[in-house]
Amino acid sequence: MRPAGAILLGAILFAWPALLNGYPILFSDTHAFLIQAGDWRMIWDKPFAYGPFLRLLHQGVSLWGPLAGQAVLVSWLLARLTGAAPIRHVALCAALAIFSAAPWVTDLLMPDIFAPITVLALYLLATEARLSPALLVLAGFAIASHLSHLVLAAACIALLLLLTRRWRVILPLALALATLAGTNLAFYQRLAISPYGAVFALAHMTGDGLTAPVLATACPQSGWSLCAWQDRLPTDSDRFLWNADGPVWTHPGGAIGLAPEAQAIVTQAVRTEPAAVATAALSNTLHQLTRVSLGDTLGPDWLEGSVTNSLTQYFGPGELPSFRASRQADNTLAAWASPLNPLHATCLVLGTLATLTLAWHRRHTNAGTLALLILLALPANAFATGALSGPHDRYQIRIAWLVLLPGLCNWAGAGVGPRARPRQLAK
Amino acid sequence: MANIRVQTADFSIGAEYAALAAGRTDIGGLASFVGTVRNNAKGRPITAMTLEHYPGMTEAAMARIAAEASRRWELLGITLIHRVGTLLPGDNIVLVLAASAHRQAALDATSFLIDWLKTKAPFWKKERFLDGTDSWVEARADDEQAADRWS
Repeated sequence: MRPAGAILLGAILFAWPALLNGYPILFSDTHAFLIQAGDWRMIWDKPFAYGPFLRLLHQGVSLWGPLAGQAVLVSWLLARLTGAAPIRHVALCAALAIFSAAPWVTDLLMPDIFAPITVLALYLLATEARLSPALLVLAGFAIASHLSHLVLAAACIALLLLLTRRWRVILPLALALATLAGTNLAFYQRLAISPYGAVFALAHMTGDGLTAPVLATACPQSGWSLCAWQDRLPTDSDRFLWNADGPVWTHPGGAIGLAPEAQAIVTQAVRTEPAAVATAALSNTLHQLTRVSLGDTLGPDWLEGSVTNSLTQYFGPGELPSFRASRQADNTLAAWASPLNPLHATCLVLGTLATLTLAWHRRHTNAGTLALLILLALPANAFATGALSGPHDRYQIRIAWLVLLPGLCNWAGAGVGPRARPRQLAK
Repeated sequence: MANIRVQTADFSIGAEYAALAAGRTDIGGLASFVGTVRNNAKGRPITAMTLEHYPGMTEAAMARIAAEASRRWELLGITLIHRVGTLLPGDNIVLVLAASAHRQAALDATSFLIDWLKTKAPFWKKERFLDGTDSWVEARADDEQAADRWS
């Protein structure tokens, strides 16, 4: 078998949930990303990156294009990571396809799959002998595709710098920051990484009860619109953000208009209640770490009227019926996935034990570096999502499967990196 | 039944009328409303208006409004198109079309649809004034009263 054939076969294995579904798996936010590059406009809470990626690969023909792109990217990256012989690469992909949620994340048309890609691409950039422009661009794009990836990448880069002293791992983060700042400047005339992100922090801090003391002290003299909500603040962050009668939607400027006030309240809460904020962040991080069940993106919730509009607007007449014929649209896909949860959970536990073992016993090699990196990436991702936005299964499932990689690579007799070699320990 | 769109591009009332009525001989009345950008806000000249929304959530709210109209009147078709992005005075903002077998239902439904769109669909509008300043458009009491008359 040729290496390219093995990568293709691996990609097909990763595509099995979409093949079972009869269509790529969609989320209501997929609609926003389709609009991004369909109309070439900014969506206030989404970096301008994943939308153009979708557009590049669907070309108004079909969303199977982006799905194929994501599956090939993951398969290619794994092949590059392990340097395994073609047959072993296929075996590794098959194992991940069966024993982990990796294919389900790959087949979801959201930036989620670029979280694990961030980790793997940074690892390769740090451990390969030469700087690969392709990996640099991929890692930069992966980091820019979702704001939570900035935190994840920063943690990974810090560890890789410590272990390998390869300063080039900073380059993708710089590229991502430049992309985010540049697109916000172009669209909003604001040189900022996330001009309105404070609204999410405000929502989850309100849910954690952290903003009520700030409002009690600052209202009414601050003039904040949230003062009017002082006695009826939503206790659920999703209700705070998305309820039609909630503080965000009823603000004259919506989330964009609320953002300056949100920034001030969040800053004040961190300044006056640092211990409470830290405790809530830790609690949410730990909660997020354990939220790894398939299911919360597999139903048809919110797809009608959102993605169905995009499929009508940006594609030919056959695309919407294809989606409507899928198991997800029929609300039967989750029933196929839920029996896999116990198997995946067991494998995650075993994978964590294997990764811990390898991190210790192979600590002077690339295998040890990869194991350590993954052990750091999981809580970093949980913090970036659970603590900064609020715990949801989708956030951790996207990356938890990486914990299977070190053990599977070891089992498959594959290396990690084409030139696996003893690592030069930092002095 | 409802054709609901949020878009940056302009719309053609003629084309949308034709699309809604195409092949239909049961329609007896088709009423329309087009909202456009005024060149002033309470007499203060404005140079542009920027409309923001939240994809998915906004369309869902519009769908609920259309469903409510269909529940109240016997309608044969609804078109709701709302533009977003930066618009200039004179530009189209919103189109409402309602088709029914009889004129009164079409007229009442159109009135209801625009009243509820103004108050219950999440669009956020920022006006830019001649002096370069801008401000978000606050909810207006008369819009709320117009919507309340359908309660």
